Amino acid sequence: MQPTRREIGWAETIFEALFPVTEDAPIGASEVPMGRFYADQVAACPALVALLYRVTLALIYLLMPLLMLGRPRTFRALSTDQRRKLLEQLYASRVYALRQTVTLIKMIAGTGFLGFPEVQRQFGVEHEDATPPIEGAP
Amino acid sequence: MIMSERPAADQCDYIIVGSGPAGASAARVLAAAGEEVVIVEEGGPWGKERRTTPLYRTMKGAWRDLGSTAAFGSALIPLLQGCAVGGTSVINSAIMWRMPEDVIDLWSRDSGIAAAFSHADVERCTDRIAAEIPIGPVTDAAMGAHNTLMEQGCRALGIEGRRIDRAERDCRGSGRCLQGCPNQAKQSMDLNFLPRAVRDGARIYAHCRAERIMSEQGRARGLVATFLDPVSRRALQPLHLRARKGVLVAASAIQSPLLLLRSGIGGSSGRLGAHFQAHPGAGVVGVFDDEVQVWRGATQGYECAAFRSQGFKLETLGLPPELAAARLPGVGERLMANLARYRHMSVIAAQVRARAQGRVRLAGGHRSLIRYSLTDWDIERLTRGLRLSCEIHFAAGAREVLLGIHGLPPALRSPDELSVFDREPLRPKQLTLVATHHFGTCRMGSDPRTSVVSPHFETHDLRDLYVVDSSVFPTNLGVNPQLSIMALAWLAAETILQRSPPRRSRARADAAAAC
Repeated sequence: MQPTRREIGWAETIFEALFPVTEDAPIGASEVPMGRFYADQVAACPALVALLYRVTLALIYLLMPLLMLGRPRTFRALSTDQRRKLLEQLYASRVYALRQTVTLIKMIAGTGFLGFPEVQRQFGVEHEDATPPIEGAP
Repeated sequence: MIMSERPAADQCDYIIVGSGPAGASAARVLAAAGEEVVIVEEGGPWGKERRTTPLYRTMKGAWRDLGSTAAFGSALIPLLQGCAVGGTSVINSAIMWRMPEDVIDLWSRDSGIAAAFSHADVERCTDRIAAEIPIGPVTDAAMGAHNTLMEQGCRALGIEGRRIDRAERDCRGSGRCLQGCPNQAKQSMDLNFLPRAVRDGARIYAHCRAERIMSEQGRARGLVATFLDPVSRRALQPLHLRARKGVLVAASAIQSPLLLLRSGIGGSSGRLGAHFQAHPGAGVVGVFDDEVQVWRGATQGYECAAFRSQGFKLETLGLPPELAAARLPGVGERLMANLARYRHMSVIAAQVRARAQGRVRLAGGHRSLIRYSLTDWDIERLTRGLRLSCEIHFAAGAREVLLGIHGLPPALRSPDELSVFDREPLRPKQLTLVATHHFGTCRMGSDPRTSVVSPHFETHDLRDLYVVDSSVFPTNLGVNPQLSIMALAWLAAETILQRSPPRRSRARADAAAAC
């Protein structure tokens, strides 16, 4: 199962809000090929898990801005602050299923983002034999 | 070691489904006794050349379903399993605990196993395993700072703890047990019992998924399996295996009942897939002034089992960076700020000997549906364990402890703040849980009305079909189960040999097994 280019774009936008570039950490999700990682992950997951993953991202991208912030627009159309606020609200939600959407994305995107050697290095992790999580990544 | 050809059919004395600690131990004993053994393993070899740093590659290549298997119920609980030649031993921390005597006493009392074996029998098999696989406490060289900190914290509080006994030889503390040891120091089954069984004539079919058990005249006589493409996991071609003497199922407490369910075997008691038990756990993160570098040192090197009688056990966990994001609080800049402190962090996990029992069901094809809800007692014990873990972190000098518990403060900054655990009982949905040890879904017992497998490891419903993994354990253990699983599988193989002596003479077989 391969995600569409549009879907990959949604995922990249959400990952960039989850792992942004900061003063202390100049390598955020935008600096590594997270879209390729997402495509690889969806293809490798069992079909049902991949579906759950994709639906979760679609809900956050398309529906949650309206449900959580009252703004009828996509995640990409939100400002940087609004994106962060939306993810924080979901993450702190009293509703378990909503909370789990962000936990799920943190869990599965984290296995990619924090697997890139340059990201590991910026957080102090040094491995002599470091290699990226996906084939062909720089 | 692995068969390179993909035949359409093969035959042998015994088919073993699964090459993890249970299947490998049984294969070791049967092959040494002169029996012709074929091992069917769904995963592939996870050799040294593939054991690189990114956890994701291991998740794709050696974890079952990329680690996405989960139980549903009072909370979503990931259930981690290996899927490789060597099974979960390839990706676990190789923690070795002898079978506690109180567990065998309990099984004797409630499940009628005493007529078949005793704790002394299990100990004898454990001794045989320990004579072949090096088992010992973590050395100074492999401890690493994060294990040392727990050791210091326990000492400061006067809590009894110890360095963990693991199956390893010359561990350098690379902290990559979950990826498959890059130095092959960890003694996973692909390094010892499986090569030994192959030397004794066993054949291993890897990337080969067991589909259903075949029977004739009330006896298990074969297995239909499917070779899978190593990359896409798509079905390639069937393999028809015929067993002259029997079929041993050792595919785990999740996969074994699924295989029996797919085969329409073992369900007469209504207990097949029921009584799923585990050791669910959660962790708290200590943040220290000095760098800890949690990725260095034995992945799990120190433990405190002094509270096992109260229902929980504590152990360190060298959390790989790839899993840190899920465990650390926050999103966006706050999450990145926490990740920037990752090098200063250490993790202590509490795991509970839970009373909860769930059920594994077949959800079509090869998919499982696992229901499992923790009881109030389980959560109360887990809360105690997490609170104590926080105390140990502070006693070791932690500046703060990150709880990761919804509804509680994200961080505690002194032991005075531990009263947050006393406010009101926690609920499962507040916690980030994981369950790694699984039991009970083909439970053993003398009564066919309440169990799936007899104390002689044979299913009540079909002769010559044996289940030899942790799915036969009537209860969980309260300690890490690999060595107990191996000892029971060894014992099962010996029991099978006694019932159906090998073609070679008994004396010769005994001599071979003793080698």
